[in-house]
Amino acid sequence: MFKVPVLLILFFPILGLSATIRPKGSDLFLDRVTEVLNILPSHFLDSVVDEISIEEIALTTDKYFENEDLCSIHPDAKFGLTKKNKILISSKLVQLAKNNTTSFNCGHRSFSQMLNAVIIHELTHIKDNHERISLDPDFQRIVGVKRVTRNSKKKLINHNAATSPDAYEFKNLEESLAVNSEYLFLDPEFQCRRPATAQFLANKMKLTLSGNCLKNNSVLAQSAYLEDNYQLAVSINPNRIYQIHYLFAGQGRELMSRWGHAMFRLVVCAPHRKVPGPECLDDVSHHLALSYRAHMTDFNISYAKGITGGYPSQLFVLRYLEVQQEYTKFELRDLYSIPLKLTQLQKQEFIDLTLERFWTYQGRYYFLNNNCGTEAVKHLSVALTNEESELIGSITPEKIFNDIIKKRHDISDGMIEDLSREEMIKRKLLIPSMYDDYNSIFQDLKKYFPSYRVKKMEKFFKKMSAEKRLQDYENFIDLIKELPVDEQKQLIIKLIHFERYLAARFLQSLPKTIMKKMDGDQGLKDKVSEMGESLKLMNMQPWEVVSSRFGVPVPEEFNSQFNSFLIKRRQGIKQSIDQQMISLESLLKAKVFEKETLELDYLKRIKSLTTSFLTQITTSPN
Amino acid sequence: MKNIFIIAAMVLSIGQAFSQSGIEASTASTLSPFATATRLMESATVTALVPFASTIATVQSRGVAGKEQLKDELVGLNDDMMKGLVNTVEDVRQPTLRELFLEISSDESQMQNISAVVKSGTRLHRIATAVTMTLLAD
Repeated sequence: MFKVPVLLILFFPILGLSATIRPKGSDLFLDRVTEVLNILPSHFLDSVVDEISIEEIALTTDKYFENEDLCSIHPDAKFGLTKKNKILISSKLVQLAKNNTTSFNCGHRSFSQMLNAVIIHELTHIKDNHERISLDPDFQRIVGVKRVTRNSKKKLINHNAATSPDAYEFKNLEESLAVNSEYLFLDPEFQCRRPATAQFLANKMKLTLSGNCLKNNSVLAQSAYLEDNYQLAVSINPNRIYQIHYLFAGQGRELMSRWGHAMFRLVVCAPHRKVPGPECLDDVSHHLALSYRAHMTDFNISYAKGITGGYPSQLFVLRYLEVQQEYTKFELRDLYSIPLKLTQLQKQEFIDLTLERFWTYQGRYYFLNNNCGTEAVKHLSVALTNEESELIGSITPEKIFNDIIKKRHDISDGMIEDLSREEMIKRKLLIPSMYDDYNSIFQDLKKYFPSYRVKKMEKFFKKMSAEKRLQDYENFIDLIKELPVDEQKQLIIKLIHFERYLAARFLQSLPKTIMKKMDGDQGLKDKVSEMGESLKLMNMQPWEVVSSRFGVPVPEEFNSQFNSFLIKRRQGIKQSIDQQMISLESLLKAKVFEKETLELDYLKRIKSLTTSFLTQITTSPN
Repeated sequence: MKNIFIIAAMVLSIGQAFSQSGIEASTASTLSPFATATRLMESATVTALVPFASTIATVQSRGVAGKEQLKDELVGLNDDMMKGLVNTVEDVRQPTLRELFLEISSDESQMQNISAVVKSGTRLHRIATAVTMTLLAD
C-alpha cells in the first residue's frame, strides 16, 4: 500500500528556512512536506536552530479513521503529534490524502488539504515551543481566556464549536495557535472570517495578508424588544466610525449592578454624512452599544449560576438609544460616554475583534472574575499598546472608568478627569439619569393629588397604587376647569407623561413579580415555561440567524441568509407576540396575580381618562 | 378624531411638561407641525401617509427605543417652533429629532415626496409635519 519510505534531508536554509528538516516517508508525504514548506514564509522557522524530524508513521489511533468522514472524526483520532523536535504524521491520513478525493463541507474540506494542515499544525507547535506566541497576551485575549495566563496548556474560555472550523482549538492555547495557523496559511477566507486573529498572526509571523477575500463588516442589532431583535444589519466599517467610547452605566440598585456596567459605544456616522467627523456625535440613532452580558435563556436569574460560570458570556450589539433609555430612564442611572484615544489602526483592530466576538464568541460569565468589566478590558486591550493596556489594571466598571479618564494615562480623548458633573453633561460625556426630571414632575403633581403625598419619589414608586391615583384623577375632573388654561395644559401634559412612565415601570417589573410568586407553584411554572417557548425567537444566537462555514459570515453567506431570515421573521414576530399575550393573559388570571391584574386594569382606565383630558385641552379655544 | 388624540397622547413628553410659557393658539396653528399633522390626518385619512413611505421607513429603522425617544422629544420641538425659537433644521434642540431631520433633509427625493403633501411652510416645518404624522400613526 505504501511506497518504500525514502529518507530525504532538506536543508531549509536553501529554501530560505534556517532549521534543518529531516522528512521520512512515502513520495507523496515527502512532496507534501516540500509543498507546505513552500507555503510557509521563508523565515517561519527562523527561531528553530535544531534539526526537525518529520515522519510518516502508523499511529495506534489510525483505527479511528475507519468511517473516512472528515466531518465526523472520532474524538480519539490523531492526525499527527509532536514531541520536542520530532513530528509524527499518521500514515492513514497520508493514505486518505492520496485515495479519498471526497469534498467535505467542513474544516479543510478534503483529506488532501488536511494533510497539509496537519504538517503546518505540527510545525507551528515547534515554532511556538521556541517563540511562545500562544502566551502572547493579545493572542490569549483574542481567542478567549478568562485571564491572561503563563500556562499554554490552559483551556480556552471560548467554547463556541458552532462557529469553529475545528473545536480542537479550544483544548488549550497551544492547540488554538496551531489550528488557527493551519487556516491562516491554507484558507484564503481566514482573514475575512477571523480578521482579528489573522491580523495578530500576520503581525507575529511577519506576513502581509493577501486581502483576497470579501469581508463582511455587518453585525446585527440585538434588542430586548422582540420586534427589533435581529431586524437591523449595521455595517461597522471603521471608515464610517468617528469614535469609540467607553460607555459606563453608574451603579444600580440590584446586586448584579452595584459595580456599574462596562460597555463601548460605536459612534457610527449617519449614511448621509460624506466624511466621518464630530457631527457624527449627533447621529445617535445610528450609534451602537457593545455590551458583554451573561446570555440568560431562563426566566429566573440564578445568582449561583452567575457566580459559577453557568451562563455564557457574549458580546451583544445593541442600538445605543435602547441602552441609553434602559439605564437613564428605566433604571435611573447615569451613563458616561468617554471617547477613547485610538489611532485608525487601533480602531481597525478594535472593530475586527468586535466582528469576531459578535459572530463567534461564547465564553463563560463569572460574576466575580469574568464579567462585563474584565471582558471589556480584554477587548480594549487588544487595540491598545502593551503600555496602555497596563494602565487599566482594574476589573470593576467604575474603576476601569477611573483608569481610562486619568489625565496621566492619556487613554481618553480629552481632559476629563477634572471636569465637573455639569461640564461633563454639557460636553455630552455624561447622560444624566432622568431621576431629576421625573422627580420634578412628581413634586409638582404632589401639589394636586393626595395619592402622591409621600416625601420621596422612591417611596412613591414602592407604594403607588393605580387605583388610588385613578380616584384622584376622577375627583380632579371638575377642579381642573377652575385652573387657568396654561396651568391646565402644563398639568395634564405632566400627568400624561408621568403616567406613561409609571405604566412602563409596572410592565417592566411584571415578569419579576411573576417569578417571585411562581416559586413553589408547579402549575404556574409550567405556564411560564410555555411563555418561554414563545420567546425562543428572542434567544436566538447570531450564528443561528446567519450561519457560516466558520467565523464571521462572508458577504455571500450573510446576504442570502439574512434576507430570507427577515422575511420569515416578520411573520414569526407577530405570531410570537400574539402567543405571548395569550399566555400572559392566561397566566394573570390565576388568583395569585389578582393584585397585578387589577393594577393593569386601573392603568388602562387611567390612560383612557388622561387621554380625554388631553382631548379637552387640545380642542380648547386657547 | 378621538383616535388621533389617543395616539397623540403617546407622543407627549417631558419637553412640554417643563415648558412654562403659554401657547398662542393663532400662531400655534400656523407654526405647529403637530397642528398641521393633525389637520392633514383628519382631512386626508391614512392615505395621506402614502407619499411618506420613505419617511416612514426612515423612522421605523430607529426601532422601538428610537421611536420612543423621538416621541419624547416631539412635543418639546413643537413648543420651540410655536414660540419661534427654531426656524431651521440645524436649529432643532432635540438631538434625536435633529439628527432624523438632517437625514431626511439631505435626501432630495424624500423632500419632494414630503412637499407634495405638506405644500407650504419652511423646510423644517414640512419635515417636522411629516415626522409627526408618521409618529402619530405608529
